[in-house]
Parts: sequence; structure tokens; C-alpha cells
Amino acid sequence: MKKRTINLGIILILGIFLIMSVSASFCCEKVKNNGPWCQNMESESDCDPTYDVVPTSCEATSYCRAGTCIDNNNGICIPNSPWEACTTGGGSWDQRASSDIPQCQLGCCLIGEQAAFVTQVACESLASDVGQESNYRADITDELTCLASANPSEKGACVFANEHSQRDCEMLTREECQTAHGTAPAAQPSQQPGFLQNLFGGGAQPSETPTLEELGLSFYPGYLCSAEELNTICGPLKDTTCGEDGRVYFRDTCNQLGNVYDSSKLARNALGQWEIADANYFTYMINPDCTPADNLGNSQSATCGDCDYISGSTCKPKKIGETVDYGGFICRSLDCLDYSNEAEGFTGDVHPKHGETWCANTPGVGLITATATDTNEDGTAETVTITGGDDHTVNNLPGSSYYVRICSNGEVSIKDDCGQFRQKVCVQSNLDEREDNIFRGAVCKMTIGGFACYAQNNSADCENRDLRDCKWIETGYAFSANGLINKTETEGRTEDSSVANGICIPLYTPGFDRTSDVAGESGATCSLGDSVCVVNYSVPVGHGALTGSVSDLSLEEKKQYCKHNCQCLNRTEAEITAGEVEWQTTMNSMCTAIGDCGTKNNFIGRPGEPRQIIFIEAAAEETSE
Amino acid sequence: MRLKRGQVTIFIIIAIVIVVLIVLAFLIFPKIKTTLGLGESNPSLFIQTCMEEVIKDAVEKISLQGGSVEPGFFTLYDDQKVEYLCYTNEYYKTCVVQQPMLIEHITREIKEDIEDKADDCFNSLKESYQRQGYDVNLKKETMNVDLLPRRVIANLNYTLTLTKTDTKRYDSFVVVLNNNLYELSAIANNILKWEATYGDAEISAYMTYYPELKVEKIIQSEGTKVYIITDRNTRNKFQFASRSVVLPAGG
Repeated sequence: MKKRTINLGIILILGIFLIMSVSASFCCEKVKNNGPWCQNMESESDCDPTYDVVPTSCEATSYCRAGTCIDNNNGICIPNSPWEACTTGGGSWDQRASSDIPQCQLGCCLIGEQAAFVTQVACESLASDVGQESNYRADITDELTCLASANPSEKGACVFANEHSQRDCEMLTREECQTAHGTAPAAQPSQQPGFLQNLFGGGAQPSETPTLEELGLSFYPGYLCSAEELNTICGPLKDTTCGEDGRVYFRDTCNQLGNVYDSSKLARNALGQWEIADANYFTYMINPDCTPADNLGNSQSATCGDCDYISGSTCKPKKIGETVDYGGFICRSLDCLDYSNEAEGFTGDVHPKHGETWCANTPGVGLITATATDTNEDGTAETVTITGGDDHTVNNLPGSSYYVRICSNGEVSIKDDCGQFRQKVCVQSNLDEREDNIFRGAVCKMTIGGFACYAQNNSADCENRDLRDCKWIETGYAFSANGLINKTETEGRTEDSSVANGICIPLYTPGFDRTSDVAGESGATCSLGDSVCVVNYSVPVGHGALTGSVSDLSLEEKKQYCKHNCQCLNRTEAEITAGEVEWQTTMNSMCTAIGDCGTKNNFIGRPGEPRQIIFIEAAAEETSE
Repeated sequence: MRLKRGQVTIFIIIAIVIVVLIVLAFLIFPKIKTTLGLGESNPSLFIQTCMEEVIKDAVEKISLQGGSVEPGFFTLYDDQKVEYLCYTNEYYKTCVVQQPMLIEHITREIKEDIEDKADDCFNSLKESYQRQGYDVNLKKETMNVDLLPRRVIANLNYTLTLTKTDTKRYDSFVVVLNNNLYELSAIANNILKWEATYGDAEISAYMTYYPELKVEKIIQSEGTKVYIITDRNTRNKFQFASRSVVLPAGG
């Protein structure tokens, strides 16, 4: 037992040494042939001779120390940057981490109605680029709070004289109105109904419409351009369109946005044409009230354009098959209504919801088959579904990978590729705690397999899921430094009588990169599944058929004269019919469970490079009985 | 009566043939409009039209190749060279940023790519005026490219003096291309920070903050990741590669 553990320990150490031995010993400031900056390489000849090279690791050099590159023009700080690449590009390099550099500290940059979580320099740069003043809030230290701080300026109808001396109008903020159309004398308080007042139906009306000659320009907060009182050239209703906030808006004849689309504010006249039914709704800026309690995002609603991104809808042009009472835009569901995949659980009316992530059913990985209990960081248990399952003959085949899919804005795409060779697998769970509701969440989870499994020699240690992702198979064989050994065969013949009765294999059969397997890692791992079976025969002296080679014996004769390890002989047709399995099939099954080893098809069902099990039959031992 | 109807039919056929020939001529020889003098009446308009396509092509090429016209160290994705903006050749280690001054780098690359083509545009403008009998004096000075939010601006400091009956002088030309490469490269910079610090970036956060963006992460062989940032509205795209915190295969 001890000896075997030592053997496996040696294999592990050798493996680590092998990996270490390929690690580099020269720090190239630049790898030759226009290669990357600052890499540890095996040989000096890998480096570009016009740059620095020192026989040590890059962390120990002055020219490739990790540092922060500061782009002073754009206010961007990039960590882990080489000095040369930074300074050549015009940046300034600092060896401190960006969190320790004052000018790299992030804050909230408020420009107009927009907010961005950037450095102060970046804020000033952005403001200068868009030609507006910025308000930098260093006291806001997280992005979400920052984005929520974007405070819309006061909006309203900006009335001005156009090139034809007509009273034209644009929906702008007061500041935009002044910038776009010249400095306006502030309209009298009595002419500026507050937004809240209008919302509740009150508010003073503009008593006298000032003449263009008197004012030239006026700003009416809370008013729409189509307000009759403003006497502009803008009629109340042209069509609908999408606003920047993703909602459907009425649009006036000057192409200015009105309030959110609500068909109840319109009515058909005797000729079947649409008319204004609620004049206030086309006069003042009023918050919509058409959202029903059971459809907060008004998804696919024909009557209400109050879309809500958080609830899963946004404004889109109406498609064939979609219906709205008025206009050509609708609150389209952000769910992926066109996606269906039975194996992934999306059939009939069940479609992925916006923001939902789930494990993809990809070739060679297999269907969603298993559930397991996982422990969260806070110690609570969670039931997760694991794709693939643990049958290595049909799942986790060479070339297969796990993927996480995401539904976002009506489109399904791959969110995460869990990587080649199945070092990570996809796990998913239901994030919606309400009964009968499903909202899937999936992530790539690192697995602990490989030698962490092969080194275990009992089922309890092997299947301790807190430590490793392995499973135990009772095969009568155990892993050794020389491949698989048979427990029965070795009993009484070796010093160590405690050969395990099974093998511990990875739950998710790992793969190997055979195209760049410099260290011969795949061969080293797969050799655990090597097996030699020496069959002894006792053949009577003078046996007529025997000429010195066992090959001359028929299978029946081999079985007749076999004395030891007879289980390794081929099965007769009768035995196969009775359900017995060929020895080589049993051994291949163990071999293929180790990883991308042995004879098996890849993820698309192709056999890959032809391999076969080779039999070398030694000369028979001639004995007399 | 029948003769009259026949004549009308012939005229209609001739008219149709003429219209078709004109349309075909414009389709086959798109530059015909400049040789007809439609573009040169305003040199700035001519340069804007000529250079806009040039800048558009350069921006598109550079965006798909990770920010460089000729990527030095790249991976192939969809038969396209995609430059590594962050790379380590080792296992378990975070990557070293290869283009820490990405926005400056992209600006330089655009400038270098369009410089010769700008000369071509100005030369054809010059030749066109010369053909019209102008005495043309064209002097090249400097050229600047600015990558700004929602636009790319090229300031072409060429001095063009046109003399015929009177003299007209143009000192600089400004070409503006509406494009959000600045925003896409800012997102790329942010992803690079994550790659260089933690070895990976959570792409769904970007799609949540910026619903108009689609961010994809494609895993290539040997741990290489290709990030593709797409503006859902304009379909503008920026893609780059990274290799960071790679685990050896085989568990």
C-alpha cells in the first residue's frame, strides 16, 4: 500500500518536474520575429537581440517588471504593462499597482444626462470631446451607483424661429436649448409650468404667447412641442418611434418625441381615422400609466409602449405577425422567443428568458442527465444540474467541450466556453426561488480530476466530492506505475497484497492537447491504462498440433490447456452470446476512462487515428502431465 | 393613327434605352460623377467623399485585427489575423499587456494606413482641376487622426490653391467618419484590465451595462481567447485575442 502510494507520488513529482522543466529561464523583453513583449523563454535564441535579454525570470528584471501604463490623454490605466511598450506608445509607466496611483482612481463622471465610471482625466477628456461641462464625483466609488446618478436635466419644449421665421420647436433640456439656439431670456415663471404640476393636471398655462420678435427663443419645461398653447408649427401626431430609453413614443409632425405611446389616448373618428382623445397627453410631458400589473414590460402589447428593459422588453419596429393599435413600433420581448432546443429544456412555449444562462447540449458532452448537491460559499447546499453525466463511453468524448449559452436582447449566443479538454464543466441551477418558476443560471466550474483521482485507491477517498471530482469503479484492477494490475493475479505473488479492487477515474474524462503535447503528458497519463496479461498453458508432450507457437492452437485448445490468466483469452461465440465480455474490451473500457486514451470515437463519432490492441503471443511452455 | 402610335412607341423605347445606358454607366464607372465635375465644385466635399471610404476601410480592417493594420503577434480566427493584446506563453500566469496604449496605437495605425491614400485623393482632385484649366498648387503639411466618441476625425493639413480667373485657397480639410471604434476600444481596454489582473473577464456584465453591445468570448486552442465586441445597431465590431491564466490540459 505504502509502496504504491510512493510510486504514484513519484509519478506526480515527475509530472510536475516535467512541467517545470519546460518553463523558461530567459526573460526576453521582446520575442523574436515581432513576437510578444516580456516572455520567459527557454532559450536566448528565442529573443529579439535588439532588445534586452537576461537569464532570469521576467519578474526579476527591471525592464519587464509588472507595472501600470498611464494614458495621460485618455485617463486610462492599464495594469501588467511592459515599460517599453508603454513609453514607446506615449504613455507614462509606474511600477505601482493602479489602485495605488492617485490619477488611476475611478470616480463618477457626469456629463449632461450621461454618466461614466472613469478616471478624472478620462472624464475631462470625454467632456471636451463632446463639448460639454463635466461634473466629476470622486465620492462615488462603484459603477452601479454612478450609472444611477445620471440625473436628467430639466426637459421641455425649446421654441425658436427657424430659417423661414416660423415658430419651430425641439424637445431639449434648457441647457441644450440655449446651446443649440442661442442664449434665451428665461421665460417668466408664470410661463414655465413645473413638470410635477403638469403631471397632476394643474400648472399655469403660458398666458400670452410671446412674439418671436420679443423673445426669439423660449424654453417651456414640461411642455411638448405639440402643445397648442405654444403655437408652434408642430402638429400633435405623426407616428410613433423608439426613444433612447427603449420605450415607444408618440412623435409629432416636427419629428419630436411626445409622451409614451398609449392607444387609449387616441380614438377613431367616424371615418376610421385616429384622433386625439386626451388633449393633455399631447400638451404636457406626462408619465405613462398604461402598464398592467401582469405585464410590467408591456411585452408585445398592442396598446402600451411603456417598455421596461429590466422587465425584459424594449422598443423595436413591429414585425410581421405582431399587432399594435397605432404606429409601427412595439415593446418587443427581450426573451429569445425564436430559440428552441428540446435537450436543453426549451420546447413548446418554453423559451430562454433575457439574461438567462444555461448549459449547452453540444456533441460529445451529452444531455443534461445528472443532478448533484453543491455547497455555496456561505455553506448552504444547492442542487445543481450537471451536463454530460459521467458515462465516459458516451460523454466527455475527445474534442468535446462544455459551453454556457446566454439569451440577451432576443439573441442566443455563447457566453462562456468552458475550454478545451474539459478542465471545466458547465453547471446550472434554477435562480428563481418562486414555485414553478424557472430562471436558469449557469457557470463553468473547475473540476479536480486527473491525478487527483488516479492516486486514490479506495472508494471513500475517491468519491469524496468535497476534495475531488472522481468516481470509483470496481474492476478487479488497480493503477500502478506499470499500468493496470490484476488484483487476483497479484495476490500471493507480490509483497503488497493490498492491491485495490478498482480504479478511481475522473468524473469528467479529461482530454489532452495532442497537437502540442511536448511534455508527452498524454502518453504518461494514458500509460496508467497499459496492461500486459501473460497466459500460461500446459500442453501435453507429443501434442500433435504443437509446433512451438501458441498461435497454432485453436481457441478451444488454448482454453483446454490454459493454466493461468485464462480470462485474458478471447471468448468463444457461445460465451459472447452468454454475455461474457472480451478481456481487451474490459481493459479498453478502463483505459478510455482515464482520459482521451485507448480506442474510442471522438465527439462527432469519428474513430480518429486508427489504433488497435496488439497481441504478442509467446511460445508455449511445453510440459508433461 | 397607327403610324403615330408606332412613332410614340419607338420614342419610348429609345428613351428607356438611354436611361438604362446612363444608369449602367454610373454603375460600371462610379467615378464618372467626379470626371463630370460634380465633386470638384467643392474640394472639401470631394475629399470627404474620397477619404470617408478610405477611413472606413482602414477602421474596419484595424477593428477586426485587434487594432493593427499588420498584426505582429496574432492568432487566426475565421481566417482572420487577430492580434494578441495580452499574452503569456506560460501556464497559470496572468498575461502581459501588449498594447497598453491601445487608443493611441489605433489612432497611429489609422493614420499610417490612410496617409498614402490621402495623397491619392488629393492628387486626383488636383488632376481634375488641372483638366478644367485651373492652375493648381497643392502642398502637403501634416495630418492628424483623432479617435473620439462616436466618430473618427482626420485633419488633413494640405494647402490647395486654385487659380483661374481668381484665386481660391483651402488650408485644411476635415473628414469625419461616424463610427464608435472609440467606445469599442474602451470596452476592449476594460476587458484587458481584467485579463491582465485576474486572467479572465465576465462578458455578461458589459452586455448588462451596455445593452446595445454584444460581447463574445471564443476559446481557441492552447487557452487563447478571442473577444468580439459588436455594436448591435451599427454592427461595428472590434476583436482581439488574449492568453491569460491558462491551465495545462489533462487535469
